[in-house]
Amino acid sequence: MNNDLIFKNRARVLDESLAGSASTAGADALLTQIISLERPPARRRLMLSPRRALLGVATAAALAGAIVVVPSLFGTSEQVYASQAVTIDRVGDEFAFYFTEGDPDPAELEKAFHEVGLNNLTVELIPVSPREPGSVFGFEKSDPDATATFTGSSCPERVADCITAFSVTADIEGPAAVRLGRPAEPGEKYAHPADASWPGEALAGVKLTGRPASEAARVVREHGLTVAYALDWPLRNGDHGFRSELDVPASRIDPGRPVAKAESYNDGVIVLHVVPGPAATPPPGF
Amino acid sequence: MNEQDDRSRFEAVYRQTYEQILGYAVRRCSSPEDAADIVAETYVIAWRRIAELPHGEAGKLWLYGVARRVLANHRRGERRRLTRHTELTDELEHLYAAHSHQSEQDGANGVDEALDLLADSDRELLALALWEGLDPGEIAHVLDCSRNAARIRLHRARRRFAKALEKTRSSARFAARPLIEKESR
Repeated sequence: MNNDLIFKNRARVLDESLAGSASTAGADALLTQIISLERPPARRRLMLSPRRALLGVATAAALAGAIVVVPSLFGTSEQVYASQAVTIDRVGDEFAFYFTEGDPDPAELEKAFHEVGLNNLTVELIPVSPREPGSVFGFEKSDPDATATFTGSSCPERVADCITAFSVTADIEGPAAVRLGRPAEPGEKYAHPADASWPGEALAGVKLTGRPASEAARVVREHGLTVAYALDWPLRNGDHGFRSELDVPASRIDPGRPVAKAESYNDGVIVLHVVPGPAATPPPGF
Repeated sequence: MNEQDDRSRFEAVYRQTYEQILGYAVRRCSSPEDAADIVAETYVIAWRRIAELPHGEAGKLWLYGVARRVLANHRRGERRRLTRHTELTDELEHLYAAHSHQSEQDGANGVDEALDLLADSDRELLALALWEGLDPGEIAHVLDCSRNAARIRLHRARRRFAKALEKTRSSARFAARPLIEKESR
């Protein structure tokens, strides 16, 4: 008997012996349970649109460090730390962090950072919609040469049940802080806006996207909420995306223009992001 | 893709790959409870990341990759049980019981000891090739390395397994002798 066959024979069971397993009661019950589980919303990519940065400024949560999006940073890497809350890989000149707790303990994360030599990296938790806890919402640094990269979209491929991920240059110097979301308490104002139509939000299930601004505003008021406006200006350089002009007075809003998105800070105010008309003139800087 | 489309696609993938992922877990877990946890958690992740699940054969390799990481997390003591899968666990208990007797008989002659001498990475490479029946390109996909690296590592793992077998089989023959003398009395 050759060695391959010897090894193969040590299998407890081979796939051919499991024929029909996919339709057993156990398989059916598991399938039913899984598809009844609520799925988190698709991860929204930070900095893909300048709007997010602007909203960050509006909430006094300005991101000093640029977080850019890359498809993945998988490749040759070495795991240097792992706990319930975070796994850390060394990937070339960077540390890659994979967060697995929706409501992490900052002390535990900072202990992990210290373990890999990042003694000046701290964690700040900010209240966000309970629909998107654990996400990375910012990275602040004093080292001008350091870079941070958001890699959350593909992190489950590296660590099971990974919620979000980012990487940072390993030789970062000086104080730095990563800002992570924690589920807001009931009634607590969010530090980062959420889609107002998500389950649990102020306009759960109400679709305002695409409706004229005047009609959307009426719906918001019918729910006892206050309307605020933003205008989403297309990027001038032709790139995909837009910049949001916040706190726009109602007098500048064309009531017939469509709403791009309705967002909530959980404070009774719904921010309607309206698409400006083609003839509208953007203000300086937009 | 809307919720109903996602459900339909997930169910199709689940039915198509379930036997392979179940087999993967059962072959690597010493208890039916652990195997059921691995299967359940792997598919929970797939459901939540259905948009990222590749189509076709690549989807199965992606699931193997997820299962591998779920298993690694379990071995580190991390368990995230989001489903109650008692029926699946019950089914696996029967499966484990049915195969335990055969396993005891086959484990003789130093094979298990040889497996114990191998590094986890060597065992996993051999298992992916010989249990899951993956070629080096597919193994590379699961392990996130190049095809060439997978081929070389697999070659080395086979060589180390052969050496380990030589070592344990010779000692197994030596150790067996007193037992034969005792039985012949």
